[in-house]
Amino acid sequence: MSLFFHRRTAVRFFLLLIASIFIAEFLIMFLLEYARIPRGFINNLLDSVILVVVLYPILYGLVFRKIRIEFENEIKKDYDIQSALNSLLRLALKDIPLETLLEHAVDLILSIPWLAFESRGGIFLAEKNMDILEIKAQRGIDEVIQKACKRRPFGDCLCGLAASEQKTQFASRIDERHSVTYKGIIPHGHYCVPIIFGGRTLGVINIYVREGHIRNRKEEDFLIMVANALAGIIMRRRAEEGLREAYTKLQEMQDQLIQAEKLNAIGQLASGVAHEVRNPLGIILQGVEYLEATAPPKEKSILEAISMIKDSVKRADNIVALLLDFSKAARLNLKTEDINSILESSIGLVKTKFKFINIDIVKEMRKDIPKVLVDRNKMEQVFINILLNAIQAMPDGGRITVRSYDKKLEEAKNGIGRREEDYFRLGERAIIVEIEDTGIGIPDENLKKIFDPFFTTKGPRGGSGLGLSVSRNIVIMHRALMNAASKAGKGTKITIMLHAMEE
Amino acid sequence: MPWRNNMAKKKILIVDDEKDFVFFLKNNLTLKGHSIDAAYDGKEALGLIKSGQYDAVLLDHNMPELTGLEIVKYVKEKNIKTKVVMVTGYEEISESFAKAFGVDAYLTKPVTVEDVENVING
Repeated sequence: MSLFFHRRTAVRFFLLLIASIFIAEFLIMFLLEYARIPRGFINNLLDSVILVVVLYPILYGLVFRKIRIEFENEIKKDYDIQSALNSLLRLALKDIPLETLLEHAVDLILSIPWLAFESRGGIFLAEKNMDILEIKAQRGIDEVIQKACKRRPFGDCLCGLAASEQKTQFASRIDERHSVTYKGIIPHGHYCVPIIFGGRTLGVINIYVREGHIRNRKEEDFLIMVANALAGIIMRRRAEEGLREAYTKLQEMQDQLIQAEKLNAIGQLASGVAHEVRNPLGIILQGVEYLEATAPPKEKSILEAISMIKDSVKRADNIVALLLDFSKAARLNLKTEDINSILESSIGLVKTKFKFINIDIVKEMRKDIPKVLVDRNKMEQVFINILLNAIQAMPDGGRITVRSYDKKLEEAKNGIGRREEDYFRLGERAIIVEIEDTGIGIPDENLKKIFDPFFTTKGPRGGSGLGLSVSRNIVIMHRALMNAASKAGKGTKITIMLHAMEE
Repeated sequence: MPWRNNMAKKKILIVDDEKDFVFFLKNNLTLKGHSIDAAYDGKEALGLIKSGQYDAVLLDHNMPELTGLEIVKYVKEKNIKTKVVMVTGYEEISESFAKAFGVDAYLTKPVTVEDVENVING
């Protein structure tokens, strides 16, 4: 119906109507005069009948047909708009990245044939909580401009103005508002339509038009409709993203809680078990020593048996000691230490106790790194556990690399600078220790479990399944991080991140 | 002086409610030439400490009547000259805590005779 909103069209229609009546009346008068029908009732009646009969085809030819065609065109345009918006909304339901969706949106806008757009345009989005536009999708825009418009503050150039004033910016040619310019720029104009949600500018749609183009209501309305649809889509995507993030956070926290609960339960169990087990172990050891002291010295087999029993008692006692570490880890004897010296002594201890068959230890420890505040014995225990695992992962030999360095934390990650309760803050200096082997590696399904208490792949005689679990517990007590990365067949890397002491 | 001059041979009191443990430890230490008394609860132990003069007292902590620490407290209050060694299954009280109370040495079960001798002679 917008047809009649234009005054010019209405005036044209009125003039045509008058012209049609004038022509029809002229024809009737001519006919009636020619037929010589006397003036009177019949003459008047015939006049009216002939007027209707003659006027209609003239009117149709001159006026109605044009109106119909125009109406049809309008309906077709509306249909094009509807189907473009439909496609956009259908795309929004697909699980595709927002940037791909925006590219499709640009394509849709440029695909409508009756719009007098050049086949060039793009969509900018505002950076989160910042008044800066960033180009996210584009078609046919020169690389020079892509670079120049990559990041633009609000208020700058046409797009920036659209964003800051939240009003469509139209330019029929490059004018003073078009601040991004370069040598050899091709003359053109623009529609810049802001994407707004709840009073906040989310982005801008930027479409090129030919130089000298006249602003058109229909085109502008269409772009605003697309902008509104995009606003809804972007907000929904952001909400989904936030939800997903919150869900992951919640899951991480739950995992941590479960882990803490597990450790706590084991700690309590350990205290009870340790007490009950150590007393009988004490009796066994004393009993065996009594047998040893009183056995006839010549009975070699008895003495051998006694020594085996003693070894077993020691093994049982070691497991009890490991269990107790869960409940004891809270008691740390913190001192200022040089991490490299702890690493050296750990390597030394492992070397004296275990045979190294074809295993090289490569030390890549950075000198003069800041000191750490740690419990030396406990950290030694951690490193020894990791080194022993590395040795066991390389039955045919290989290489263990022990690395240490300091680093300023600049990237938020799990446990670093994301949440209030994270151990590390951004900008903090950390000491990183990496122990890497070239062993059999850990399959993905086991990697998650290696810090779980009692998880072991070494079989009943191999290990208690407590080594890494106790180690991580000790690391956590230092408010530090311990992570494992592994590739089956390639090797495993354990990383420990400690707080560096301020100098 | 009530102190025995012979460094190797000592008079020792074992206090523990684990009778089997006491039985073997007593025999093992006796075989090494020490002279051993045994008590199976705190009260009995106090009686023996009052009358006898021991070079060392081996104490469990968790016992009927009186706990190990209460015995330590008594020994220190009465200024009785003897070496107090705590021998416990599980550290109900930590080593540093026990030492703050005046315990001279701290061992956790299972212990070897050698461990005990080292501590007493040390």
